[in-house]
Amino acid sequence: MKKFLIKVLVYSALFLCVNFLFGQLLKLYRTHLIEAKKFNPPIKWEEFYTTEAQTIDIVFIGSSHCIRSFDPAIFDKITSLYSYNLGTPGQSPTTSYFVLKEVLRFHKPKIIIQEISFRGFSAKNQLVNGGYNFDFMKISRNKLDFFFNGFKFSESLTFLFPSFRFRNNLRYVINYLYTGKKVKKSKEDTYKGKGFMSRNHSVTLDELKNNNIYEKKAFNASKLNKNRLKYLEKTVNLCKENKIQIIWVTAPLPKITISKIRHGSKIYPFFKNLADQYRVPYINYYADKKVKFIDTSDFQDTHHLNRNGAKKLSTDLAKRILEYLDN
Amino acid sequence: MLFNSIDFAIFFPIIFILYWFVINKKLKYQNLLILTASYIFYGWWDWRFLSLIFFSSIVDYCVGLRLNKIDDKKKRKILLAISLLANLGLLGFFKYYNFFIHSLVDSFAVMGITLHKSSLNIILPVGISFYTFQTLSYTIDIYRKKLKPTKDIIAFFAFVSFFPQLVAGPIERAKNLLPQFMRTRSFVYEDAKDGLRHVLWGLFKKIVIADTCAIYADKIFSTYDTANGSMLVIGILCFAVQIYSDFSGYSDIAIGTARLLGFNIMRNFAYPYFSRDIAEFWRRWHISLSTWFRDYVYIPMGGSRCSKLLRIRNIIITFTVSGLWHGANWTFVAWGFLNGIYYIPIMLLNKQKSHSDQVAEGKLFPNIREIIQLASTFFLTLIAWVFFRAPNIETAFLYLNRMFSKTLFTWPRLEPDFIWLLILPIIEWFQRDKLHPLQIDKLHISLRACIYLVLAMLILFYCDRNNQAFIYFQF
Repeated sequence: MKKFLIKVLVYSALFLCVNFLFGQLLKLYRTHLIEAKKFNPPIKWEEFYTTEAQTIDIVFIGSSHCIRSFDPAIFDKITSLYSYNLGTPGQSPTTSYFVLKEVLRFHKPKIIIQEISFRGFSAKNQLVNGGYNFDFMKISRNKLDFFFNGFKFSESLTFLFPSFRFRNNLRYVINYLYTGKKVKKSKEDTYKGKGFMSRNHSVTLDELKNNNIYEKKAFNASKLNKNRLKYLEKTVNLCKENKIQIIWVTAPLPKITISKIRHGSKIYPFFKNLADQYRVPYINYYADKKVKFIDTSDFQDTHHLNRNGAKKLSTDLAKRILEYLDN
Repeated sequence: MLFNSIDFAIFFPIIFILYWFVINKKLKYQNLLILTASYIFYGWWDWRFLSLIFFSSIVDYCVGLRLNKIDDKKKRKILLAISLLANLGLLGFFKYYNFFIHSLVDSFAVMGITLHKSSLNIILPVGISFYTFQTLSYTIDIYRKKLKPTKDIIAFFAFVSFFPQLVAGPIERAKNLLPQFMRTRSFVYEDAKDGLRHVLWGLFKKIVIADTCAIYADKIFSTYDTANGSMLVIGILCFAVQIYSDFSGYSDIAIGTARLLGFNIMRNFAYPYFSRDIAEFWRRWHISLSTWFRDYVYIPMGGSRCSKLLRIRNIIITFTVSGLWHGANWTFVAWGFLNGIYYIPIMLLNKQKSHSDQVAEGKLFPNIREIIQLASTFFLTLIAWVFFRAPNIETAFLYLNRMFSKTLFTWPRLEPDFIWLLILPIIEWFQRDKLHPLQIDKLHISLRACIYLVLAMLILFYCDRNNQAFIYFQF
């Protein structure tokens, strides 16, 4: 028995080592193989940690809509404050909560803008969006809390197996080792600093009509992830405890895209109701007609704003939040 | 609980530790632990259906004891009928009720009589066909006075519900498995080592090969009406490899986990695609089921010790019923029937056992004659698999019709994953004289370690492909 157990342990250790080393190789894809460092999470977290403590006044949290809609440069100019965008791809409300807690370790912001997208409550994958932040956060108690509470048990287990977590990068790494070429992303997609990503490209009518990823999407309030709704409430409470004004913002979508979402008209009333319940100001840019966004000039794809659209939204939102600062 | 799930990866080490370290060598407690573990394992899927296993076990336990005490032939027959009725009744209700009702209504409809379909929303209890057959063999063997019943209720219940092979076999015989519950098990290093290798190889076959082939088989079968004949060949090849890897993978894991607990359960697959005729194929494919049908259906009907006509009848009935055992659908019946048809010429020529050795034994490659035999047997199995996989008979014929059209000679769209269709047979060919391909003791330890690590890494890479359930769970 002793011999058997020793062998099992030795092989398990060997397996974990190989898996770890190979996983690290695959992980390099995210920081070294994407041309011109267009994968924003590591860059924005690195920049965040080098920002002088207690300087950030406005923080944006949320998904890719957050990254591409809120331009800190415009906010800083209008409000004369220091803002920072900590949105990451697919960031769920669960992840946003731990991101905010990380911010509070170093800064005392006045305003939190939380981007609200119904998909953040229905998409299943917590591992990828959580990992985009977890992997680049500094070791702390918050990171430990994030590990134990932000992921399902099966997801937490995958952190032990980086080869599994980053397995999809294998083909890029093989391609790089074979050809020496890095992964090309859109040339226009650029990191503008303070967490903001921007792109000039405008979506075509054909893409909106015939290649729209929202084609089969539906809003169903009863199917929203309850745990994520709980974390949304926790985020509101965290802000209240720290006397921070939180504002929920839903970024605009092209009209064609909205028309494709089944029961899309129920999204605004649902979150408005929730916002009223928590007494959180809520601005929904596709229900609010004050700023007009044009499908083929303000959006880079079927659901993200381009540089032009982000400029419109940031200018309007910055002006609107001035009143909260005055209060 | 699935073997390829995190739940099982946590569950089994706990049982292993409790089994060997906490209650080591205390037979009663070892059996009690196995029984508890088995009920947890099964209840993980749906605890309500534990009542069916419990019912089957208690009926056969009581019938077994009673049979041993009675010599009167009539009474013995009644007792056997009670067991058959209870077990086959449950199986018939849960598995075949809707099938028979629908078939009856459809056949009346052909005659112009309209009957109301009163189908029930019945959930098929996982593994019911497997444990029903296992426990039936116990009472039949006692009835035939080939086996003495056990008084140890814990051991008997543990035998019926033994978790490594509870839901997808191998269908063990009481003669082989029950005595193992009656003697103290002690840890044997060589057995445990081989058990782990079995598990590793089984997981590799299931997760890497079967689940990958499933993606393409499903895709091609769902678009068969627009695909080229050559692509349909790939589709059925993928399914052939999928079903083999899936089911034999499960059996390997079952054998491996049982070995880790000190049990030896029967081999279920012996490289069936390296068969030179259909008789050999059925000696190598799902051995536990084939031998069950041989012993409890074919031989009682007269087997081969009767006239030619009766022999043909026996073969057709045995194969057709074995097809129906797989599922309540005419496609399975057709699959069984077709295999029966394949078998008849071999039986009539009395060549059932002409290939009882290993193909190309002692040689690296087969000769031309063997290649033709292997290819033609494989081709016949592929045709039969079309019926097994198709949702209905009509689709199966349409699939075959389209496969053998002019488009058969167009170049198919090849995917990198198709490499597994080659890798598996290559590995198995060179290891075909072993019980499983990971019997590699002669290799240097470093090479062995590399092989284990490569397999483990591949399992890790492929393990999220929908975490598919084993195909045979539905049977």
